[in-house]
Amino acid sequence: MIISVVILGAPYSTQAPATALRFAKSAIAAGHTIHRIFFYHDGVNCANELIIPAQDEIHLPNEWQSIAKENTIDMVVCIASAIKRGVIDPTEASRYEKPASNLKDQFEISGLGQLVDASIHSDRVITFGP
Amino acid sequence: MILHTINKSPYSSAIFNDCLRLCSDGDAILFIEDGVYATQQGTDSYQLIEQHPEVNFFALAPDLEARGLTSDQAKVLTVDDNGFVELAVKYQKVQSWY
Amino acid sequence: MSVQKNLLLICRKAPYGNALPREAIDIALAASAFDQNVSLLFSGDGVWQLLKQQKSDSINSKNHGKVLSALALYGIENIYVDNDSLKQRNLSKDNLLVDTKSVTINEIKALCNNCDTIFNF
Repeated sequence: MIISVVILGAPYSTQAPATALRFAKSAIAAGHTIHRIFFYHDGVNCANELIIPAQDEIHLPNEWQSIAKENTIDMVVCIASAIKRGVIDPTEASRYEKPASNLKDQFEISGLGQLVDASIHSDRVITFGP
Repeated sequence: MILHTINKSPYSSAIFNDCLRLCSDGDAILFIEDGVYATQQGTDSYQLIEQHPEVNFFALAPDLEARGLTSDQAKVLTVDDNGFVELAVKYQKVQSWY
Repeated sequence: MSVQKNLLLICRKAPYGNALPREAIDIALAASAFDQNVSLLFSGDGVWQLLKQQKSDSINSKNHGKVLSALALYGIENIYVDNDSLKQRNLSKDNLLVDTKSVTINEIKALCNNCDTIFNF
């Protein structure tokens, strides 16, 4: 089955990205395909390369990065949600004349059309709320 | 049939009631994260669970364990992460309450 | 995106206190722009989003009523409001700025059962 996941909660503030990660890992282990992870609302913070968790805590951005890499999962960060929360890629950094960008590798900034597209091409869409 | 997930405690949020109201016969509710506090016997929320035999109730075991809770397995079945995926596949849609 | 699906967006939260109501409307507009069949249901505190005469300048927020008026521009016509939620809040359709169809709980269950994807916001 083709499944897409929507994450609305921020890492280290809500449990949403951690619960979604466990769900995605289990779905992949069961032979399902994760079509896309769509980060929206505060969920976009998962894509922030500058996050430094405490040493005894799970590194959620790294975990998402590696699960996406190993399974070629599309990870899309909503552009409208992301830039207003300070998560930007080099293109946005140059467009808005910012001194740096912080979007983590494997994540891609795009529009809500990618969420609509995910709902069209997936058998299930599951949201993890804040 | 729809799988509803609930991630807030019934003591701080009305979503359990709101969700039950929208449930059709045969739908399922899976309590996750702080939602698992609804599953404890001798409480108002447990009474609500007992009053709705037409709905299938589940709780996510890792979230129960993390919080020092257990489920009686009578009205609320526990599932692990794999069981969560199985429920999402078994029901045609997933509706998230938060 | 030639496939057309039925998306139901359930708007359950009051405006201004949280960004989620705005972001739900953004999803509706995007889905409509991609030719999807979008329905919106305002339920619970979500019905407060529909109130007339919102003046949000003093709290430095974009006017949610104006955000909702974009729905018509995008051709989104399936806009429903939970009749029980209106009653609970002592509201009637006269208080609302958008033309909505008021629905009973059974009609809401049918909406949920007949769509392809539900986004709860």
